[in-house]
Amino acid sequence: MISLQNVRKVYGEGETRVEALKGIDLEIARGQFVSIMGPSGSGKSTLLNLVSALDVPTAGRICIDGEDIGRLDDDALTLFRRRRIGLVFQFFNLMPTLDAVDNVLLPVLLERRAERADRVRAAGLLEAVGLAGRAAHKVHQLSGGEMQRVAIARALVLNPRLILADEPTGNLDSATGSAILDLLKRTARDHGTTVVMVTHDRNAAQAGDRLVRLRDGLIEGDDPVSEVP
Amino acid sequence: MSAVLRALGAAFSTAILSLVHLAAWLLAPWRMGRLLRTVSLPRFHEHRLRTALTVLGIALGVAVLIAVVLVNRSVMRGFTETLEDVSGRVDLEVTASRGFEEDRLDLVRGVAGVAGATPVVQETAVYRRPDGQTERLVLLGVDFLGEDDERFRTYGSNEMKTIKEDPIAFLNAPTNLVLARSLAERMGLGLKDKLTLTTPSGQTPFEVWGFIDDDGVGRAFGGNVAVMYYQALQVAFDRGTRIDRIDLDVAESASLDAVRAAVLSALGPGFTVERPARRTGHVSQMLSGLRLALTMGSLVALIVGLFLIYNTLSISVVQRRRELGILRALGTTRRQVLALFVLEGALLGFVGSALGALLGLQLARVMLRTVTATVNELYLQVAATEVDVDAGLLLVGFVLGVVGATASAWVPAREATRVSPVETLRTGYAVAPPRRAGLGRLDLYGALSLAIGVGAVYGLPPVDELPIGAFIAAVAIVLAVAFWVPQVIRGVVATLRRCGIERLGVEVRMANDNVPRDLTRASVTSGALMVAVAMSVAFAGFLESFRESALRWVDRTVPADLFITSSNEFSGTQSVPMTDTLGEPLAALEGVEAVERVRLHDFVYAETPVKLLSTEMKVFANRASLTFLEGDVEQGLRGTEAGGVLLSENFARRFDLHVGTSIELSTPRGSLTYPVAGVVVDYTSDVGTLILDRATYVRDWEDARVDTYKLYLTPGTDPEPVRAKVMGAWGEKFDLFVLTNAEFKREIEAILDQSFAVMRALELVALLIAVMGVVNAVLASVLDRVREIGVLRAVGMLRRQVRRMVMVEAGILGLSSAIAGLVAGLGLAWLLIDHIFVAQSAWHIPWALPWGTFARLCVTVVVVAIFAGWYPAREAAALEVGDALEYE
Repeated sequence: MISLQNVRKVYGEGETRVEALKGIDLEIARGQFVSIMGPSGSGKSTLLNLVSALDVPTAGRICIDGEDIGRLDDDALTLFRRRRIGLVFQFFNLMPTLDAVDNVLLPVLLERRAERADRVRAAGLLEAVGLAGRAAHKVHQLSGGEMQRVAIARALVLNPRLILADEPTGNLDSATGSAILDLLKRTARDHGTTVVMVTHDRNAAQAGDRLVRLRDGLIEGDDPVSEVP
Repeated sequence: MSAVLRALGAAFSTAILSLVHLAAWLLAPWRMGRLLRTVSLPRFHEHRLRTALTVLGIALGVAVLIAVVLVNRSVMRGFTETLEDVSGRVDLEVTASRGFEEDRLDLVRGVAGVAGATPVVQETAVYRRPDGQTERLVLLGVDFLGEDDERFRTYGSNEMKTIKEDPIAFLNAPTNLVLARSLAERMGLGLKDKLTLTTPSGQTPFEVWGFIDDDGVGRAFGGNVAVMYYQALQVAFDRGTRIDRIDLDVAESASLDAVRAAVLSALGPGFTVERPARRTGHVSQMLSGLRLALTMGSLVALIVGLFLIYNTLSISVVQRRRELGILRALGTTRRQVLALFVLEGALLGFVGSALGALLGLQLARVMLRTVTATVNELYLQVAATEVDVDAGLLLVGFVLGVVGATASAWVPAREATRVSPVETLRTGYAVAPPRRAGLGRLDLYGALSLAIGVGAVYGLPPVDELPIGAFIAAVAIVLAVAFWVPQVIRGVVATLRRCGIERLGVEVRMANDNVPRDLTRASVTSGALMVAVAMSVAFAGFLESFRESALRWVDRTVPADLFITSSNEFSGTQSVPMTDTLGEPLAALEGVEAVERVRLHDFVYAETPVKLLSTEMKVFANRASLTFLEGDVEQGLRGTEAGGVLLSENFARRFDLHVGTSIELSTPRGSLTYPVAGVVVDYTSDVGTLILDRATYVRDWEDARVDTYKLYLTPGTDPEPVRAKVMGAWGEKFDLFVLTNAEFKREIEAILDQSFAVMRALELVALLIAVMGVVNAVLASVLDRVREIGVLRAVGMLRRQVRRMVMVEAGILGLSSAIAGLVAGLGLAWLLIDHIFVAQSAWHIPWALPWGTFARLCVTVVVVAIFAGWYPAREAAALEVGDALEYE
């Protein structure tokens, strides 16, 4: 599903040169839920940005579903993100001018006019994330946990094979955070979706099947969660 | 191209920022100055384009205001300098309408206290430059052989001294003249060379007998001047023994007033004895409408510029809430925050106004040519080639800009003091609820402004023809609509939503939803653009109404088939009157049914410069369709043939005259009384027109010359062969212009367009400044939403969709401005047409609103706003997604 071969990422040059990733090799299979952990500056967000096709590597190759995303131009990368990847952010990043259901439908709306079937699907997703009665609510009328649920529903709306989550519980209280992790786990299980989640919360990382630990731009450890002490 | 634009933009903003730095450095010794340098300058750097646009907006506003005042003054100075050169040492001048017999000179000389008196005759001829263009030459006929003339004028001419010693040869021909040296050099003329001039008797070669230096008289009329012996000029221009004025030198021991009274008593009624400077007052009055229009236009540009300061600082407060919170948390007092923002406004105003003062000087040089051409075409001959640079005025413009900018900063500065440190320092993901729609305080202010405006229009009558109430109402209407702009924006957004704008794509829908998110910013931006649009709508409405009325009047009153004038397409300041001997041969041409001889010249009535028009009423009234406001055609025709006068509606209104009353006019035959035979619609002069039958005019004014011969052809006659015959027989001799009816009307339209060209340019400047406001605001809106745009890109919005979203947002701002501007503009048009114009010209013109033009204007504003969004859109689309997501 995801294949990273000797991926390097360098920012700046000269005295300000920072090597964020120093040669990462990583394989993630379809349907896996992978947690990525590491201290600040370890390169976990850089890695997520590269896998999300939000950024391009300085060297190395990233293939997702057999597609070498390094070869795609800007428009193709954008369409790739829209159609093949679902993104979940720490700060939810919903559009404040849209209501909950339209936030869910945003990737569809960027593609085309939403059909009735799309609306039914969005409503179904909201129901699935426990927001059946909140479809018409504006963003400012939702709590943090509800916003993150909407964000997850948005990530699922085009039925992507990959969900990338960046600290999805970082801004939530522990109870709401647990509920969100359960939702992500269920999603991976029910839809066969690959989930890659960056977190620095050890408990949150336990939600995955596999834990990749980064330090100073290199993989320090890659183990099944069940084997992590 | 894009790289060049980028480089130019960078160079421009760097240059402006350097000036801002310099100004901030000047303030460094003060504590607030240090705070300004530490806190504000980095912000100016961060938003350098916005800073530069704001400074440029102020600069343009100040520049236009300074340029207009400088041009107005330069035009007046052109006239007063000439007056000074020709009549500088004259204590009093004796005049009468259209001149008087020279034998009155002896009467004047005999008055006790008159130390010297000399006759003056003044005529205008036209010559052709080597490049084929025509120019006017003022011929000053003086008695330079007599002793008194030396008291009044300096010629600096050796040849004139020689002529004075032996004048016989010079006086032998009535076509000998002494030419201004600069003109002779321009024309390559030497002694005894011939200069062909168009005079009433046709093209006549004049011989150059000498030169006058370029100071004193030689500098008058921009150097387009020649001196002749006054009696020679009388002969050359077929004036009999009439002179135009007598210049008087009053003995030092005598009282000016006593001599004035004695001269008046010696001459009897019909004469005026005044200081020459009185003529400046007439010219000033004649040009007052034009000057007022220009000043109003420039003020609007400045107001729009000040809106920009308000706009920029309001945006700045919103964007710097966090920084303000930190400053407040660290102990900066509210007063210091207030001072900081006011100082920022003052700093931007300082740099903008300094640039504006310099720019204004240059702009004045460009404008002077256009305005002088308009004045020369429509009013009178002035030679204003140099801008009257006045350091005091530049300083006033500069101070006005700085004070305006400082005052504009006050409201955003107050807003900044209200920032709570606790709230702004709290980080998180809370999304602020949108402000509730509905009527609020601003709507009430709007209603109040409107009420004040309407009250001012009807409650405050004009003072000295200055419609104070209407001016107050204009400001009140603009303010009222500005207060209602938030409601207009809400309305536009809601309407677009109801019309199903989302069908155009989610990015278009989001653009629509984004506009009211920061309603304050959107309203201020839209408000500035609204003022510019309102100004354009008002002027377009006024102009079209005036054009319609004037052209309808032309249609009805000038049915002639051919119009014959000398030296210019129109009779007026640029043409030369012709002898009346052409009348009979013209009438004898095949196909000519009738000939109408028209004379039109300036005339002073009750200290007011009006027009005196004489025509053959029988020919005219039977063919034209005069619109009588008082009396009727029959009564008018009978009355004028019996020696009565028709008054233009503005003349009648200005002097409160009606049919049944009579008017006393000063004529070469003395003061005569004329019964008012009718009041008609007439657009010859914005001050007023008197219309006499030609027979009455020729008899009382002893002037048989003709400015225009109008030919009426027998039905079915092709005008072209008749024109060819006229040109063949007299074209060259009289330097004739023969226009067909259609050509005449086209020329009228062209003149109307030319007279409003400067106004249109001012409208464009105001629009340009407002568009800079749109760029500014949309750029700020993009910066506010960097993270949001990053998310949209992350979830799959293409760069072109981002561009589209931002440009549509700018377009919606433009649409809101266009709608609000249209409403305010219609209000201003009402004031302009029904109040300001009436007070200025006493003309009532019916409304003829150019809805097509308004629609085009609105579309243009939306399109221009969309293009103004292009740069911010490009910046937004260029954001790197990863960076944008991490932007805080």
